[in-house]
Amino acid sequence: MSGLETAPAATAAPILEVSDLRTHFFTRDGVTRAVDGVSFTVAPGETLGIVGESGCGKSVTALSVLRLLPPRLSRIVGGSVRFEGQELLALDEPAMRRIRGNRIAMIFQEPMTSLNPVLTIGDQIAEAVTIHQGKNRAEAMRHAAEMLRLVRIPDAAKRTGDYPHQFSGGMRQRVMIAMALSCSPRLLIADEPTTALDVTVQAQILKLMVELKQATDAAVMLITHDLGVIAETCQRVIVMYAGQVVEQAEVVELFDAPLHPYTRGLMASIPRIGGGRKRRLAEIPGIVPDLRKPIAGCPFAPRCPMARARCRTEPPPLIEHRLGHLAACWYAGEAA
Amino acid sequence: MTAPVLEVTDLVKYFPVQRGLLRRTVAQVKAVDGVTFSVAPGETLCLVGESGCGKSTVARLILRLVEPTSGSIRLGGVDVTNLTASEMVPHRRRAQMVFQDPYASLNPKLRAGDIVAEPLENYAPMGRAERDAAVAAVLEKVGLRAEMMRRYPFEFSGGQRQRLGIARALALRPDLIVADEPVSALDVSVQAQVLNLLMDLQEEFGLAYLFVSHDLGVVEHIGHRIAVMYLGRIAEIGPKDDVVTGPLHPYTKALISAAPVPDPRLKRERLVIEGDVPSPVNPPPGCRFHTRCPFAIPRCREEEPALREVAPGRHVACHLVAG
Amino acid sequence: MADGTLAEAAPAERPQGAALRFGTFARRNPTIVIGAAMLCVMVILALLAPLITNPPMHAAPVDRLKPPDLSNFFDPEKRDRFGTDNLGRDIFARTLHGARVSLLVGLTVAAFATAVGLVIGLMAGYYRRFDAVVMRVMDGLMSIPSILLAIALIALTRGGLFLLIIAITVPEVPRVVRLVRSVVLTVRERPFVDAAISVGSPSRKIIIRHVLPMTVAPLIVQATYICASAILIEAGLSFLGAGVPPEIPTWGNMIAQSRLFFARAPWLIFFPGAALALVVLAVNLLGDGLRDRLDPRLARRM
Repeated sequence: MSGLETAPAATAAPILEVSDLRTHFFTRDGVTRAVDGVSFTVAPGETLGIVGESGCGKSVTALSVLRLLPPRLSRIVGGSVRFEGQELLALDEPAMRRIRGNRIAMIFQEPMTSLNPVLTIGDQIAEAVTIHQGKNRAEAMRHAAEMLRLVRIPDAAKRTGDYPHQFSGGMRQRVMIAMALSCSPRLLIADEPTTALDVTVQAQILKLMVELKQATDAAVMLITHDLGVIAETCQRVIVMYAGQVVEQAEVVELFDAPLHPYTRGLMASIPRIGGGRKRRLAEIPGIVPDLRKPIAGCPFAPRCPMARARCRTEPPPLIEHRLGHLAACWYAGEAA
Repeated sequence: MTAPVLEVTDLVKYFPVQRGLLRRTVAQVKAVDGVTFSVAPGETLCLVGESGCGKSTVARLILRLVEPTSGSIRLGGVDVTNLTASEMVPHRRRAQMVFQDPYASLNPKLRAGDIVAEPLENYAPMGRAERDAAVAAVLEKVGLRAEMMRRYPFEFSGGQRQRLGIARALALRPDLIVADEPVSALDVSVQAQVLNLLMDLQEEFGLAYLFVSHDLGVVEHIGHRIAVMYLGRIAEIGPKDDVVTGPLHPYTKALISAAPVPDPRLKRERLVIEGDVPSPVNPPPGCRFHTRCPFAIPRCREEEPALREVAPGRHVACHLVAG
Repeated sequence: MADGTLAEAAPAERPQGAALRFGTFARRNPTIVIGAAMLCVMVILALLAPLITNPPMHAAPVDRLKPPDLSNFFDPEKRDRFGTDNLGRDIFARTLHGARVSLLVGLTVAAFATAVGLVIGLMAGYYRRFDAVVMRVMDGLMSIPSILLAIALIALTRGGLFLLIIAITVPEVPRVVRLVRSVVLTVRERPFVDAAISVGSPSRKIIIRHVLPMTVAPLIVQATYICASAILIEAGLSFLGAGVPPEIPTWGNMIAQSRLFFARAPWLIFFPGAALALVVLAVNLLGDGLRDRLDPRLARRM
């Protein structure tokens, strides 16, 4: 499993640098601060996992990087996103289009709805190379068949003429991966790529993604709520809560010694196979905060077993507590 | 030996596929194709499987929300398979259901108190004060405050709504609660709350659970016995610890192996099976799993293995497992 | 074990004065407010018509075909605010009295059609065998143009206002049945209906408590469209002479009677025609606004 490979050399310049990203959603009931000061980097060839529960802002972060947010409902209100040194937030739309699908590709959660039902699979895969690499139709179709072979779809050349409804859920996700990789992007963003799939199919897809990553050496930003998936595929992990990064570490370090109370709570509340029938799972009481209201202090304070006065008034900064391990907590690492 | 709370024998459900102006039946979706098991009082039997295995259909069949094609269902010793809707009503208080979707399983136009009171009103006429007291008592049991009974579902979070669904199921003090993926739609941190609640209620009221899930981790935590389903049939059934630590059926092994474990150091022998689940309209001949089974032998293609007892309380449907 | 504060789940509400809340409502739903306001004005005028106008039947041949004259508008003796027709009758009075018939017909047809269609639709949606028979009958009814059906029904009977209302109601019922039935079919599949069955609720209780409330929003919207449609059909029938007895002024027969004089006295057609258009516009605006607000998905024009 790639979790145990050595991470790429720390001296290589990061391929993606997100600094203090802020994205707001404008609704009738107020402004939701979906992403509220998020910073992280992705090194070339590395797999970064972003983990958090629903509403933490992980998907919005990914959409902000690719500037795929709905234009009237939301806006990136601050921060910077640098890809290969270039500031993405400053690009105009045509320049951004040259990057999407080409240098940065994305795969989404729902393979059922992410594919156009009236175009053949071959057409959809070929679209990217036709636009970005100027291939003619014959070359593009050959390339599409090649990509289908790469993602282990049997009978690839014939299947390029099939429509999405003729593929099962797992195969559609493979097709999405084929589409994403068709222009050999340097960065692949995968937003909950296996959540909608059965567990045996999920295992196949994750295995495929690990193999492809090794073959193409692309960097991967994997977004999920499943800590098991993180443990099995990622090299570094960031944990998000209420639109902010609360912890960041290499994967083994994170599971060995989680510093933030939320991360600890999350890990303790997962029932795991082989864990035996413990009497109770550790609970995190309460619910996530309303992102429309200003939050004083640490966003996790109302639910935190260790919260003290300082936590409710001063938001803790994300600082390095151990080597390569950052946490946003005034009392990081202390016992509850 | 106390009578089982639920006994299902050779339960079958085929859904017809109808085409054409005259609605002719051209094929059958064999959703459930011969399922037999029982649930003892106070125990949790988990039905595990992936999409299309029929576990949710079994749950709905037991409560007669869908009519069985053949087979029998006994609730508390009484055969309820062919009762009419009105004959069924007195038996419904023995078995209740908790649904998967906390948003769709509560009528958005009714207050929480009315939703929980509905089962109570169906079985005993009550005055206003008595009803409110009974509802308040049930709400407290599931960890909600009594004054919440005046609120509408949209005012509750997902986890709270699921508690409300549990309160509704608990109101009649049933012997059996059928829980159809009750935590799948919830966040991980809320899942733990709801699972703990279900376990506490089981201890307090001696409830039996038929717990349907695709998540092996959840199943392993809450179950006493586990039944693994594949394409409408049971592949393996037995005590939780035995099935999880020593799975016998190749599909069970694959399921356990496929579930991602939150431990980055764990090196393990992954059994990743290829291919997709075949369609229940045309299940493969012989053993239904043989098309994806890494251990299949010629006999698996020809003869469907029966669910045989290979150890006390342990049944497996596989030719490769000695009886 | 209890969950955290519930307040986080619901948006906090600042108490607002009634005027402020209405202002916000008006800004967000202009069509509802405009349509309702227009309709209210017309209903009030129609109700007050006998009190504020001269008798509409009063013929005064000496005053025939006088053009509209809005001076001295509030003079009670004035008879030509909107002009007079070929028999010298006060068009202003007749227009306002015509509103009484039109609004009465529109509102009662909407009410009857909704009530009957609701009952039939609920049963058709819930009981499959009833459904098969009923929908074929409804399909048959829908295939006949409503005005022709109304004429046929009137021709078969004595006529009169009540039978006119029934004759206009019948062709409107299938649309309501269709709508209600489709809502019922959707709602039946929802898990909360399964839950109601599993807690022992009988079918009658499920239909009334769980299914019926879901039909209210699209029904209200559909009722407004039926009202508009009924008003137009009544006008059409009166124009053709198949409506209410010709002594009672309705916009339809006013327009019919003015055909011969149209070139010389266009105001004979203008005022009833404009009144008709305004009422229908008001009702449609109200219906559109309600539809957008209540649930744009569920309410469809059939």
